[in-house]
Amino acid sequence: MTEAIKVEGLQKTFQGGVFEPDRTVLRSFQFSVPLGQTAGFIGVNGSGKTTTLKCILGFIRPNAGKISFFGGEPLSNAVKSRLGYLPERPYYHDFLTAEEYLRFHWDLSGGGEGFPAASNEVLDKVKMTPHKDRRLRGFSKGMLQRIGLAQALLRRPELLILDEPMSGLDPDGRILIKDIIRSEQQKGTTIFFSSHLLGDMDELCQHLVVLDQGQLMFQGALKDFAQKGNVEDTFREMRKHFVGVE
Amino acid sequence: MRPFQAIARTSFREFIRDRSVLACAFVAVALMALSFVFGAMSFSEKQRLLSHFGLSAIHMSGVAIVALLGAFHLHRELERQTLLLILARPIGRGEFLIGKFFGVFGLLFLFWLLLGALLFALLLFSWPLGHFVNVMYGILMEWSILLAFAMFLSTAVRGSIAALVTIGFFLVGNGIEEIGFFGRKYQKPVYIYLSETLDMVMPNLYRFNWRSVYFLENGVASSHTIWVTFHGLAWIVLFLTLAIITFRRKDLV
Repeated sequence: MTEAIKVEGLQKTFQGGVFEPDRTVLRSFQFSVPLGQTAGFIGVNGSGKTTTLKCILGFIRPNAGKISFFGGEPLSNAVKSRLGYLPERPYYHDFLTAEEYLRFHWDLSGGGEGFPAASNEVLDKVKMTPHKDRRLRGFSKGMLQRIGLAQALLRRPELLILDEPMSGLDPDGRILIKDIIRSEQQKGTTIFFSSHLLGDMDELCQHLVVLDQGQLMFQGALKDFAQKGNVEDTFREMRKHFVGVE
Repeated sequence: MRPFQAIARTSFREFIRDRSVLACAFVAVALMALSFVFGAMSFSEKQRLLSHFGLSAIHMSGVAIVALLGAFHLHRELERQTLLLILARPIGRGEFLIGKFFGVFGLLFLFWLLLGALLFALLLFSWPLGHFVNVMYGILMEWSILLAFAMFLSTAVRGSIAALVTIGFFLVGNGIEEIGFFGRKYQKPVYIYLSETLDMVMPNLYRFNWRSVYFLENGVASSHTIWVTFHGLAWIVLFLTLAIITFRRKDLV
């Protein structure tokens, strides 16, 4: 088993309305995320990153293609119990306290023994222990993002899927999220995250998937992509070459 | 705790904070208070007026809650992406919908219980409690069917359309008997046929309507209560099954 996620021939067209044409957002591509590595997922707005992540997690049904996990398993509850997910700009049940919110996600994952220890561990990891009894409605964006990450880490996932985890965070928040990603890397967790912050890719990833207008532009080791020295310069060069955008 | 129980519990806690629910409860209580004013105009009819107004106020405000929460909540969850966080967990979409159904049902039950107790006290315990509970039971069953229907619609169409169609469904479901009565009285076969057809393809909500002094005085025949229970449960199961089938196929964009 070498791949945590394998995507083959993924294709998605959203049906238009009466006066709208159909819209193809994913144009049949394949990529994989190697097990135990951190893979970055980049592309401009509207390139299809979030749709791809939603297809991977079963929220959107692709028109064609196959998605498998951990060496060939299709998405199932057994696979989901090994995943942690943080969507882009999520809203939380803000009448719950941080600890109640984690309890809710613990119960969604089947409940069982061990919640206090798991909750304390993740709250400590995201530095939210002093706020565990506060309601989420009083939290800043950065604090909410940390709680979102805490719920993703709660069940010690083998695969973390994060959609723009550092979007809108202040420098402290970004540093913390990056530290958490590094700490998960050391444990051997596979991480697949999308971001517009190309500098973060250089710092955190070993693998890269680049999407543009629903087409795969690159997938492979980061060192093979960043031949120009860093991800940002290479990405700019690639856009200029393929799409004609400076 | 099973995942659907966690969803039901959290949804219930969310709904009891919902301002539209509080507004519906306020309107129901205000209408009951108003019925006191009307009741004061007639000494002999006071209890009758109060019971009619009170039961109608509870009934209608519950229908409003069903239309609001049943039709809009799923869309709100999707808009806020809370749905995605939940469905990324090892639970199925069907289990999610069942949890939501029980979350709203829990709220409706609490609403039913509190307002029912208030009305029974306002009626000065004039009728046997068993009869009163029986009359109220018809209301609860009707809400549950409408809730399942609204949830089914909300998996397929926009919230506003789901709410409007639910209200239309409620009006037609309550009017089936009247349509048939009108057809028979004025010898209009088309209305008789329409009434019979509607009776076959949708729940006849008129049969859940025991909101009158007659039933408060005499109670509801147990055979009728049993029939209504099975009739109601069958429609609830059907609508929830359709909701699950539709929701499983839905792209959560």
